[in-house]
Amino acid sequence: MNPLLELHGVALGIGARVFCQDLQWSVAQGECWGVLGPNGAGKSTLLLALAGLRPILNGMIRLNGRPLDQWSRRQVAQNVGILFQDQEYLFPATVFETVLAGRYPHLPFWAAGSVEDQLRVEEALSTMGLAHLAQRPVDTLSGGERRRMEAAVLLVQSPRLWLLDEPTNHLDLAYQLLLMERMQAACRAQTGAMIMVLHDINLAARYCDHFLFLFGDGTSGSGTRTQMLHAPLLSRLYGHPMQAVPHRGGVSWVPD
Amino acid sequence: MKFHVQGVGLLVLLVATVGVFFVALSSGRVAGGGAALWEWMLGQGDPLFGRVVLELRLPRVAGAMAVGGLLALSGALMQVLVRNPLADPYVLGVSGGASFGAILALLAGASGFWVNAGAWLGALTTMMMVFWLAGGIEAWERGSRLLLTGVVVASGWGAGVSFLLYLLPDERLRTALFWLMGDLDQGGEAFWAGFVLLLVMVLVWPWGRALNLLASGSMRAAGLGVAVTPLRLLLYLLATLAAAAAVATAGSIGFIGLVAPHLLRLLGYTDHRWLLPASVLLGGGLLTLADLVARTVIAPQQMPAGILTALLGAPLFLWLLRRSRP
Repeated sequence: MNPLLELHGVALGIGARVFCQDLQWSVAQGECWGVLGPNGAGKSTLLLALAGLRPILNGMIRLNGRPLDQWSRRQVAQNVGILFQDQEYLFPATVFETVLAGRYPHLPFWAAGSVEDQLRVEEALSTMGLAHLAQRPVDTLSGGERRRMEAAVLLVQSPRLWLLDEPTNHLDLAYQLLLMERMQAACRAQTGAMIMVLHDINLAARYCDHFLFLFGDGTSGSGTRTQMLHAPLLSRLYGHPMQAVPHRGGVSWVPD
Repeated sequence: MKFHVQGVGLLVLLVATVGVFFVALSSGRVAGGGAALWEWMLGQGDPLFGRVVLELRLPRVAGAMAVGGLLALSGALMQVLVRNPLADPYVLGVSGGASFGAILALLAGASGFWVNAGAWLGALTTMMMVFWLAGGIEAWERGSRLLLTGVVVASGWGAGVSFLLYLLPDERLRTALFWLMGDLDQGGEAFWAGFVLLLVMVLVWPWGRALNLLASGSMRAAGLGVAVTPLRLLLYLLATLAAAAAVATAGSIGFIGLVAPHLLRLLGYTDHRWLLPASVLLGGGLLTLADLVARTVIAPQQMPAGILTALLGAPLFLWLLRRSRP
């Protein structure tokens, strides 16, 4: 069986800046990857490229064994969902409508959303603790509520490959954990895989079993949690000494 | 559900617009009123009155309906296309190009049909020019490139129009000014405006749901499976075509294209599948009303309707905007 996602010799960059060269990477179903790196190392650009929203400079991305550029936008959206780092709303819409839009890739061109789609939306909203806000205009939500709504869109889209760009932005601690648990449960139910960009190493260590590091100088490295989470490697990644502190039988990472 | 509220609202708008249509038909200098119109429609009544209605008022009222609808539709599409709530049908310079073409025709001594043809030519030239200058559709992804190009081209045309006005002999200046203010008395082709309106609506309405997504951002739309580039191309062509048809028929009439869609958004129209037809009705109704006032309030004199659209619409809009503060 094909891995869900494969990258062969992928080069990624914007303008003269190169984020990675000759990236070989494969993501199998059931895996949860954390993408770590300093600011401007190309983490978000990588996620956009995986969703087919940004061209790569070189190489090939395969989804389910088929080159990504041979998929239509709609087919990609049926299989790949992305939670953007930021999302601004200029035109009025209610929370319910915005989340319902997550069904777009699954609906026939002409059909209206069915009762089943509406039930999915209600379920996703209550999963994210937003049921009481369904009819609220989006621009009246707080940052954290909006983030949870974005997560609900993704739940409703129910892709196989989940790309999350700093999913815990704006969320308080309890909701950070809730969002991670719920997203992972949904991903598992789809026999999918998850790739997330995070800045909190400890949160990443808690949920991710694999890691991709983008060092910011064009080099990268990938492996399992135990292969990747080491003080020297993390120190190199962030350009600051990192230290493991024993904590409840495991470790917590703190800057030295 | 919100869905049904928007549907009921559309029905109310439809009834109101049809009402405005008949009031406009029955009002004017040749007295008559609703009763006379009814009698004439039943085949009784004064044949002279009938001729006035058929040959003078109907083309004008139908023209106002079509032009108002075109402006509102174009505005709603432009706002999504450049993803800026302040966009209006003229923001991409189409009106400026049309004005230049029309006044150039006036300067050359033309009148009637050729002025409208000049407007069409100016509008279509601008469409292609802005498209090319903005670097083709792929480049539009980067921020406000399309919007900026359009605004600058529009101001270029503005200078050109001023220059032509300066050159224009006095006896034609008045015609030119009326044209610039937007006037439905020019005998523009209501039929063609109506045809373009229908065509644009039929082509764009099926994409209503994709428009909802595009309004929330092109990345978001693409991430959920909308083929953004072809959709934007379609929007660009249809929105500029609608604006061109409106300007060529009635000159440049401001305000309706910006405000009709926003009035409806303030009233809770968030879904473009409802917003687009509602905008057409509201825009058509507003312009017909403005034109009705323009030709009756100081009768037998007639004002350009363009003067009145803002006068009528602005207070209504501002009241709604203030009321809707969260």
